[in-house]
Amino acid sequence: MPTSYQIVVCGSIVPDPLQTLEPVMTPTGPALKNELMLPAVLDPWAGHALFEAANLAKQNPGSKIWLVCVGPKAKLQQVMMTVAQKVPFELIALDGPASGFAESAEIAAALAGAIQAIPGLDKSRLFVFGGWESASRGAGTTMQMLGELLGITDQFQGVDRLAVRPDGSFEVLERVEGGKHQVSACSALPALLGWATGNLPEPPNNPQVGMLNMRTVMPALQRARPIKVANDGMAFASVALPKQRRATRIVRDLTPDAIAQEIVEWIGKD
Amino acid sequence: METILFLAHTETDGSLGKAALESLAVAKDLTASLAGSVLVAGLVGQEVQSAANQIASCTAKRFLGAAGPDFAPSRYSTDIVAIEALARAAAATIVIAPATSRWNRVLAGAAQRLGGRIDTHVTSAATADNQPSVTRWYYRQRMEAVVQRKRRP
Repeated sequence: MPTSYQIVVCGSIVPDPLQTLEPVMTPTGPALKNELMLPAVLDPWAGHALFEAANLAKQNPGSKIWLVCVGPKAKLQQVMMTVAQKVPFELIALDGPASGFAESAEIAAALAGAIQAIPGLDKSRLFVFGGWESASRGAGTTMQMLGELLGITDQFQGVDRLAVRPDGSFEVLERVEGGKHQVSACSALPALLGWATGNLPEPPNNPQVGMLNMRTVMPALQRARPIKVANDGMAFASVALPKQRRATRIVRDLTPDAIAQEIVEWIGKD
Repeated sequence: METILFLAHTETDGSLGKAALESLAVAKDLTASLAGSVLVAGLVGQEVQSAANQIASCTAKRFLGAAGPDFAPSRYSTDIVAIEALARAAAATIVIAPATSRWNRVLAGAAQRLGGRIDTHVTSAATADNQPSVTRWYYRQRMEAVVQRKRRP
């Protein structure tokens, strides 16, 4: 088993989670109102994947990290100014939509093409990391499709911990129902991990890492290959914010017994 | 006319969970509302007979199963083989499955392997002009859309 890894982290940019989002219909399909004006961040789940990758690379000298991003080039450049200061990586940028309404299968195909084009890619040393879902589409489907396209059949989703054993095999902790974790052991690479939160804090900004990364980030952005997402065969009948449902009654002078009785009846409806 | 595959895995006791039964109800309703459509049940697990008995009256035309010790644990590499085999055997054009952690891990990969597409975080399915559509969440449950697809499965 290898002691140094090739770690490919897939991630995209999403609107800052604190922003109010409003959908609009455009001739090419749904989009966000003022999408290009919204401040963007690296998708939080992908961020966790990147920090876990950096930790794994640090523990295994000789390992290398690639960050593969799909997004509008200008927005990617803004976000990379911050992300590049966190951990060392080589950026592979694809100039395309970061919209949540883009078809995940088409994004997966673009990511697969970019990963397969990495020179010297060795699948026996390959970890593919990403978020288990994004804060945009939020579907949790892109990574699995990417794994299939890359021929990776050891896949794990909702990962909170990766532990490499002394013999080179590794143990993965995945989230399952009921607040529990499933523990799996895997003896060989390649493997694909869709990370949940992991258990590492966000690394502090390191200007030296930033300067080192920016030497490759800017050229990568300049040569970012444009990709088109056609949403082939997909039609949106409507996109809307969920309607607020409130059935509040104001009743004065109700006795505690009557309130309790009403609660009991309400619970009994299920 | 659609062939709708209800796809579920058994729980550790061999039964079908609540989410699976809710998915079956959606699959039944969709089959009834799409003229000429048929429902097929596909079950995966160590042993699927008791689960098949549990839903025997669900109006499915066929019951298919992938059973054995290899299909007892929740694992991508074996689950995808089972799902692919069931979907091909059923010639499914639409697959409806519960969003359990086990299926969430594997269904998108199975869709890719079958040359299909997938919608997740679906809250309801409906029919208009004999065409199915689903209501699903985007932007992490911050907005919902009604989506129709031409591509199958």
